[in-house]
Amino acid sequence: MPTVKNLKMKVSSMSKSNTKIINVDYLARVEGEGSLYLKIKDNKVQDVKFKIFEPPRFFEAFLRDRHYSEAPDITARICGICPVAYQMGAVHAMENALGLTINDNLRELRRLIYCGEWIESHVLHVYMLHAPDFLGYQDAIQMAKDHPDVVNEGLRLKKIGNELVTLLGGREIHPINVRVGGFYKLPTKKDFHSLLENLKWARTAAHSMIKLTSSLEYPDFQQDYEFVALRHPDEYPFNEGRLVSNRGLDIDVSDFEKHFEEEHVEHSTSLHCKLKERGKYKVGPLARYSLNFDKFSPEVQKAAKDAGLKEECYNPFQSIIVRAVEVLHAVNESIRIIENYKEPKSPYIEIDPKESVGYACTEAPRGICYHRYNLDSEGLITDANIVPPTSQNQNSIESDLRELIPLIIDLPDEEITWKCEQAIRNYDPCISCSCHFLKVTIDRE
Amino acid sequence: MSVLVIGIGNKYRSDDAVGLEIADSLSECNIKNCTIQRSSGEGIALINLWEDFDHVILIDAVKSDSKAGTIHTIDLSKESLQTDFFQTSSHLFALPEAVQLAKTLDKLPKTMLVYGIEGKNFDYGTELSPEVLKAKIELTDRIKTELLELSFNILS
Repeated sequence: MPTVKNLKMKVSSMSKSNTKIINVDYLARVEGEGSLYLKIKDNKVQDVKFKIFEPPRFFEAFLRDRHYSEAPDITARICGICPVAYQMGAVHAMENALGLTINDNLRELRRLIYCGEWIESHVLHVYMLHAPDFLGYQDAIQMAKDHPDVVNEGLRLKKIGNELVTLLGGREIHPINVRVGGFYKLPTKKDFHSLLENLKWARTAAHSMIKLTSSLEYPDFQQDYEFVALRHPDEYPFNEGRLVSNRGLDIDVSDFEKHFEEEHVEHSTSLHCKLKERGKYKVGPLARYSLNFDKFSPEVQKAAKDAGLKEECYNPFQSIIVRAVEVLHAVNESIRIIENYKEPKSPYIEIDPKESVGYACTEAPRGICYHRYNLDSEGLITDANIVPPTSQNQNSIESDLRELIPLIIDLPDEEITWKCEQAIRNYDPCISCSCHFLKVTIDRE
Repeated sequence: MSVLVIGIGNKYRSDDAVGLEIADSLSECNIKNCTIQRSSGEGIALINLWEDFDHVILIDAVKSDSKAGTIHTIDLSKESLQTDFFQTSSHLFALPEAVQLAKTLDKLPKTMLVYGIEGKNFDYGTELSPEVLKAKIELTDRIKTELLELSFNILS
């Protein structure tokens, strides 16, 4: 639901005895709308509520009685930043339901379009939304005045991600060329020619992006996370794999709802997702990286280590480096796929509908995105469940804030607010998938 | 001289779809030397789209205090965008920010004309309000005439 936006945060402060309230009407540089409520008593955190104003789950309801073949295009509209993630979840879940496995070059093309989305999304976040935090700028526009070359590099890198998505998806936002069983139209080897040259530039740029992000200053803020990500035996995960964690979870995607549950909490209209056994967990770049470091190429592993990362990363502020590392991986993977590309005989595989249930989980830039669809014998959707990554990270975001605030509690309220926003931005929360805006309230007693 | 027209919006947010629908209508006209694009309004993608063009027209839904269906016209060579005018986007780096960043980096096209249609309903849905539908038809015709003449006098 649209509400008024301002470029700058509105901060008001009221102090009476030990009580202080700060209202920030709008959290800058996150995708979407929500709010944060902090209650501080005697300089101790009493309560943290990360509130998301999620409209009713319009899309899940909207999908009911639609044909299974419509799901990729409808779900792509859930998010303007990560439409490919939703499309990939939809097509894989439908193929799981209908007993189809996509192999060879069609599978490779799906990895390729996902590379494009990772590049687009990570580059947008690193250069335009998160880097200004670390460099002390209000936003990327201010940063561009002092560092035009850095911002221009980000713009060019993102454009290459756009080009990948456009070529395979038919257009760069809300791609329309992806279908259950493959693609509507295939690119030719020649179509990739100029893109390949750009990607070779992007490889160098990604290395400099890693160096840039590793040169930033980070607070010492290690957290004891349960990471959850896909893990595939042969590759750094995009579309396939088992769901694993660093605390022993190792399940098939179809068992997601046996191990995870979504719950309504009073302060948010977005569902909070948790592990039934252990509660909060974290998805996204840090989880993927820490659970799949061994799947990176030696070049990417070396770049990560040269940037000061270990094989696991528990400091959420370093997620900006991990995103840069994943951009290098996505660029290299794109080059590999394009150089080895052979046009498939058919753009898609025909498939017959049947009464069934299908499951899929893919790695959106922000973390795992789970889909389940129930189909009737004509292929009409009777039920749908989509769990986006940001709703899975809400508990983890609140936990980070609970741990962070005691470390910064003596700072002026405006700085506390800034640091809290930065901590939330560590997650690159795409709350526009499910909600909008963030308003911060600090209540001191 | 080639012109880029970008329709901005979300197909499933009622009146927010009007920019996309105008882009769809203009696409069907096959106007020479005119490229039509659709965008969710994410700012960096907008810059990436327009940086290769000298003349750009943007169409988006807006929300201010005007009557639903009002067509606002902003010529960026003469005036600035109000940052809270295009409040219908959920992107935090959206059109106003993209214009400011492009200006800083010298990536603004020579001319940029922004049309905003005052929306009434931005809830989830796929229907335009009657006032917005009427404005859509009017603005589509207006832009089509301007593009067909392609003298682009309004911008030169």
